[in-house]
Amino acid sequence: MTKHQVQNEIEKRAREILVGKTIQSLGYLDEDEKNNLLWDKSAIVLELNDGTLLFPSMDDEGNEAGAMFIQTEKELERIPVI
Amino acid sequence: MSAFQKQSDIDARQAERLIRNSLAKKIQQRELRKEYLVPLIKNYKNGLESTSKFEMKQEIEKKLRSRLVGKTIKSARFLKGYEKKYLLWDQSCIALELDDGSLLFPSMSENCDAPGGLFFQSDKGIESSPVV
Repeated sequence: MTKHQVQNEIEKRAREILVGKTIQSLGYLDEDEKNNLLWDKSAIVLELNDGTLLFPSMDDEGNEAGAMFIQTEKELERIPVI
Repeated sequence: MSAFQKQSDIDARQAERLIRNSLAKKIQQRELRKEYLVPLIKNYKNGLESTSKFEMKQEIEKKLRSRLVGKTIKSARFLKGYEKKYLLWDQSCIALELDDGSLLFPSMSENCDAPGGLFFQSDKGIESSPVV
């Protein structure tokens, strides 16, 4: 499978899960959730209106919490790990 | 020295040169990022350095609620070539386009050093979107 095909497949799956969903609430991982993931730091968690939780990791193996960025026309906003 | 040894010496030298070039590129990218990109980033931690972790989380959550809650995900796609170039990244990650036109994406670190993974957790289980 080429890189392009892999990206297409992942985009397709991500669209199925996410498109049309609204961010209902958000918050940082609490101590228990952080410990369950074996992370030292806490990442932001976005809860969608169907109950799906989204959270960033430093890599795709989930080795540590990741940051998130919001790119707008004016600037780049950072959601840090804490 | 046998032909095999000569070949393995050449391979080792080539590998060393490749690693050196790759490291040099990464260092150069990091320096460029520090100089040009990092100063442009709006940091939600600013002004909260002296507060406790708990208070910092609460303050950032409060700001982010007014920024993100109620926004709808319009599309999910990998970062495009020019977006990767702007961030000085070699690889791409999934990005979510919101209905207000902003783009939300994960990074491995706060300095935007490389793309990160994004995890989706539902009743059916956890799925991750890799860096490609």
